[in-house]
Amino acid sequence: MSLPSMQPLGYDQSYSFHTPASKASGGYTQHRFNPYADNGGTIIGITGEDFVVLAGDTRHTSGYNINSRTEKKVYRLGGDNGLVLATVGFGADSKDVAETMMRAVNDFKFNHNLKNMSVSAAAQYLSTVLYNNRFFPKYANCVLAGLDKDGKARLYSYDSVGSYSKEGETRASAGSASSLIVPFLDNQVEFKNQFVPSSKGQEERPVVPLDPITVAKLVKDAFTSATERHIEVGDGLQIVTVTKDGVSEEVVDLKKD
Amino acid sequence: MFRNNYDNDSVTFSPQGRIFQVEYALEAIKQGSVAVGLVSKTHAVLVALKRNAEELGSYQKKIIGIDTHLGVALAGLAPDARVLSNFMRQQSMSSRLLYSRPVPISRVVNAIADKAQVNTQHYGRRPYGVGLLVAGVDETGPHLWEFQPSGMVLEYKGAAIGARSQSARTYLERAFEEFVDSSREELVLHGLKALRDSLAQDKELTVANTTVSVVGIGENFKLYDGDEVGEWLEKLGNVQSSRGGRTGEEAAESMDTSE
Amino acid sequence: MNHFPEAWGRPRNDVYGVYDASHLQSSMPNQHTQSPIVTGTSVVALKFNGGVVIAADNLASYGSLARFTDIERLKQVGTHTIVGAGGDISDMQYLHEKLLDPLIIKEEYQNDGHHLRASHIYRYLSKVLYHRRSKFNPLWNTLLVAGWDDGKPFLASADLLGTTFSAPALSTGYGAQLAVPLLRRICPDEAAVENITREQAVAAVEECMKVLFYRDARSLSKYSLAIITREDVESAEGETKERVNIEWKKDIELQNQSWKFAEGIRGYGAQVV
Repeated sequence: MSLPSMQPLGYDQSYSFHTPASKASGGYTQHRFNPYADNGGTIIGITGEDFVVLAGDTRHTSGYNINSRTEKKVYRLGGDNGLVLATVGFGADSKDVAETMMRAVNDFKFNHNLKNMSVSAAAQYLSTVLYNNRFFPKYANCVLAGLDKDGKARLYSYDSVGSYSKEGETRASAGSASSLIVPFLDNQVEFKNQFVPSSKGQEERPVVPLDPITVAKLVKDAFTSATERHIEVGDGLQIVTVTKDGVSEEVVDLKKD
Repeated sequence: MFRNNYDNDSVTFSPQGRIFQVEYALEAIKQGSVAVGLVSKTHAVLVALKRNAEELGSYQKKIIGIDTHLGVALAGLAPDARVLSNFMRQQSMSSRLLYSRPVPISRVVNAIADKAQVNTQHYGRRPYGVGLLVAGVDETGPHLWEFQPSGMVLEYKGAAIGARSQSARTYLERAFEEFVDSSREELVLHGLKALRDSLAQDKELTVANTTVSVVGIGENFKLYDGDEVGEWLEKLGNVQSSRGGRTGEEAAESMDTSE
Repeated sequence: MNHFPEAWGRPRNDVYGVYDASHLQSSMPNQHTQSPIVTGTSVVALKFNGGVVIAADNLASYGSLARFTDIERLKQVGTHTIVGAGGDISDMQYLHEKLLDPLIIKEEYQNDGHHLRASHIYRYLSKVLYHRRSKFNPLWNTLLVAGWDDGKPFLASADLLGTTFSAPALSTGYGAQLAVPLLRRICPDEAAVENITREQAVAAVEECMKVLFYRDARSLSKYSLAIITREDVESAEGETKERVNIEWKKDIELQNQSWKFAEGIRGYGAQVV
């Protein structure tokens, strides 16, 4: 299996799809059907005060092959609500999780007199779905976003067995280039390692919610940089923005090399 | 005294070849308030009259959305309709998940017809006590189907079920040739006129008791309630039955189904 | 006489000895497919303006043995769709005979004007493949589904893990390395599809089949090709209706082969004299 925690470290550092042949205890090499694959790609989410952005590249890979340049990773969980889910990892599991969520949101609506599921309920439900599959995990790293009943942006990020923070996050990233993007977002969204110039490094720069234009710039910068440095990221960038007026989507080009 | 010996269950034919329990189930539809459905080339419309059992209570639900391309109007036992509509939602969702295809209207109608038929052939079961009008749009266009507890389903250009529905049907029979080329708005008004004609003499259509739903090619199923139907009622003008003297037959019908 | 009905008509234990039931149960856990046995290699497909072309050779290999040379790996499913299969041949046959054929028969018997089109069949296949992988009992195939769907050409891929994706040029197996780069030269993205003629597309796929035959040791020079197009037909009522047309070319031999490059090859590559 190629869960991230099982990746070899150190000098044997390899791409995310590399799985070393396993030696069974008898000393012979064991061949076994591997139900997982890694289809590469990266997703990020950034919140503002009253809006949230989820974005993912549209490259779909198997090993060194590019299967498709146009596979989207960000899903709307219904036509008339602000729930958005981005998943990355094993493509088949990712789509299955997204579909399970779409179905749950739809069922909820019909069972609650056409009321939409709140983002916190969807967040808890997603955690339950992933956790219930813990003995055969869905290799899908999820980021869920929406607006709460006060119109405030909510963003949740999960590991593959459903751990998440109920408080939510201001920014999140998952997938093959997340290790490249997370420190960038730490610096640019949380203002980590930024200080008030006159304080000689004594006073941290105060954190303020970002405006939509800054967030859009950050998203594009994060992905153009990740595209330069990671082979599994590129081709196209799907950016989904949730505001009180609804959900909008934009797809921009990334480098295809 | 005469007592019917052939109506104790739904698996026994009477010597005349009738199954009384099924016929009684059809009577249950007539106890419900009226629902009307009609189709054009582009749209399928359901309109229905809601009743409130008492002043303190809310109005009952007459139209249920099943999916974005499909909905039902009911007359009869509302709980039975809920069971059937939940089943239809499951069918609809399965079709979307397994084939990424909105379920064809005729298929989902036949599925509930098969369920209903089973109840007429097994001892200890009760037929559904509800009639449905199923309106939806699929790849072959807009459709309107009528469902009965006997398991019978038929496709219609216009149909009405429930108390005093014969008057609505009379309107539909007179006007149905105009339906095909009607616009969305014209179709709704035709539906409301049919509904209006089925009203008792002292009753009228109001924003509180009228419910409308529309689904069309490229237009999702939508339910209109309360103030949302006000504009249509204004266009309708007269909100009382336009029919003059009632025929004896209709008067008799309204006796045992009084609102 | 024994008065247990289940014993009637059975060989008597006192005459024949106790029945040896050991073969009815295995002492081992159930084993599922862990590797393919008889296999097909690449399937190649490309969209063009007004349709899709798809091709696969006729070879079924048993390891490195060219076991069967008359296997059809492209199959029409319903009225709008071709499914091409790489990987295990018996799994492909199971897929068609036990799942798709009954599915289509059921659909068409309804006779209500609805048909399962390419996207529906593709969705169904992806679900089957993903469910089987989740039961640790995969159908060892990579499938390309090509067809005409909702007024557009349709082409998508699904594999034994349930991984799904779509692109205007696709290939399974070795073709993913050798054919896709060639096809992407004339069809880099979805927008390019409308500038590709049917003739260009067929020529490009034929060229790919040739390159694959040169370089893929598990391939054959005999292959099948199917071209899915739409056409307008006039119905009895005088309405123009869209009809999907599938043109087959079977048992075709690769044309214009050139093995000139082979003359310079010595040994396995490092050798020069």
